[in-house]
Amino acid sequence: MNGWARYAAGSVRFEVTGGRGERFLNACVEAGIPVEHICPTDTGYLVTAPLRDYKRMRPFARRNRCRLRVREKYGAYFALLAYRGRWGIALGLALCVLALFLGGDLIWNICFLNFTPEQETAARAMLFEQGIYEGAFQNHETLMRAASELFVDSEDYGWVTLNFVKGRLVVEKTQRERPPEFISAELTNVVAVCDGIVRRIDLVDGYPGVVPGQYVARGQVLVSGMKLNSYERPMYTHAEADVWAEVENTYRYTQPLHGTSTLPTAECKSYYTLYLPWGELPLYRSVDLAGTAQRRVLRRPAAPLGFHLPALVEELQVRPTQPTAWALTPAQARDIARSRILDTLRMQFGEYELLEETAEVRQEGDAVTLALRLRFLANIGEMKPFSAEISPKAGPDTISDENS
Amino acid sequence: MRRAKKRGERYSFRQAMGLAAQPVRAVLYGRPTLHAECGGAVEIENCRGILQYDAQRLRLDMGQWTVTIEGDGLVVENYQKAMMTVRGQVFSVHFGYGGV
Repeated sequence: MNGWARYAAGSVRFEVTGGRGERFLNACVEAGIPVEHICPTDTGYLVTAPLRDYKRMRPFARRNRCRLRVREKYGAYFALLAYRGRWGIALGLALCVLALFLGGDLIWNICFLNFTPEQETAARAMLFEQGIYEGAFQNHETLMRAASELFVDSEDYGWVTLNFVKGRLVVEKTQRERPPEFISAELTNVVAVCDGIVRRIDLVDGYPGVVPGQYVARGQVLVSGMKLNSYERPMYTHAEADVWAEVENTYRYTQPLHGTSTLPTAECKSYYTLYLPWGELPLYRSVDLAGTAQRRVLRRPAAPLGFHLPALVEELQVRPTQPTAWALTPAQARDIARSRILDTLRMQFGEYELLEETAEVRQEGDAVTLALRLRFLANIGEMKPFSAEISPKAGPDTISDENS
Repeated sequence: MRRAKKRGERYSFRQAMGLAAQPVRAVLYGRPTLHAECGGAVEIENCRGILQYDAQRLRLDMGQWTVTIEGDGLVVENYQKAMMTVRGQVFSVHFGYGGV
């Protein structure tokens, strides 16, 4: 008899004292009662017998004038005997089994495979809008619709599937491989967006109209999409090139030294809502949205100590904002102004290489004005639709001042 | 009233050939048998009962024979109708004729 069966059936180890012990054992075996582990003691024997046969031994013991004393009890019957009359435990167990039976379509856990944290956050928000979250009941149609929504909403996914297996929803996707973009067949010219001295031309296609070392003006055609051949017939193409030129320009930016801004305070209040299978349960009385409060919603599965429960915790973080006065030193204002000017430069030209920088700071009243004369290397070529007559246009060499 | 003659149980030729009114299984497998292992375990088949048992001696009724196992720490691991398993340090086994 293996251990589990032995535990389920139960057994008793008892001591046989007095009388005719050997005959008692023979009588038990003759009656079909298996006895095991018989150890002789000073006064008799220690015997192990199955629980169901122990009561049948009494007549044999009486007949052979033996006395039986139970020494050890083993088995499930004795383990459960301590819970006799405590029907609440059995009722709870039955309710638990019933809940598991009824909650077959309940989502206990959502697992994302091949998702980056940002993609997982976006996908979780989308699934929540579709009514799919930990603690919600699912059906096949909802999952199919959500998978289609996920696939359509993002151009990065090549394939999306939602598999629901034993309470666990597995969201799986593959990344879409983007084919390389074809070179456009549109007729274009590459024109200069500002004045400068051409230093290098990285030509992809087209007919360059300038050479390195040449000064170009704003609007001038740098690489043309049309060229006359030897027979004076036009040849058209898609002009594309990076024209790196040395540009010299002056930028001005005025930064106030004092001001008032509406900033979030350090106080942050959290309001929790529990999403359960039978509905949502707010864990607060009311949300205090004083003034122009900043709000942020975080959703995470309820998993105390790593054990996932069929529930979703939504945290609403509210951070009130209030007008805050600030003051800068002239050095700080100058640094901010320089940073803003370089940001503007990056937005205008993209990558650039700073060659020379001359600053002129002037404090006027409650503001600092920085005039920054920059000499830098940048790509001044811009593709524009082909036009036979593009005349250079003269433009101001100064970017307008901007305040924060 | 004629009293039935008390006879010891014997195994006759008829019984062995299955001509007697007893099942073949009892004829072929019903004989008392002793298996001794060097590890100290002794298996006894078709033992009629225990005659005497203490830690140093176990005397068994094997029908026409009695078997006495002497040793130290003799423990009857399993005792059923057709099989008995004895473990312990066995020093000697004696066979006796008759003698219940």
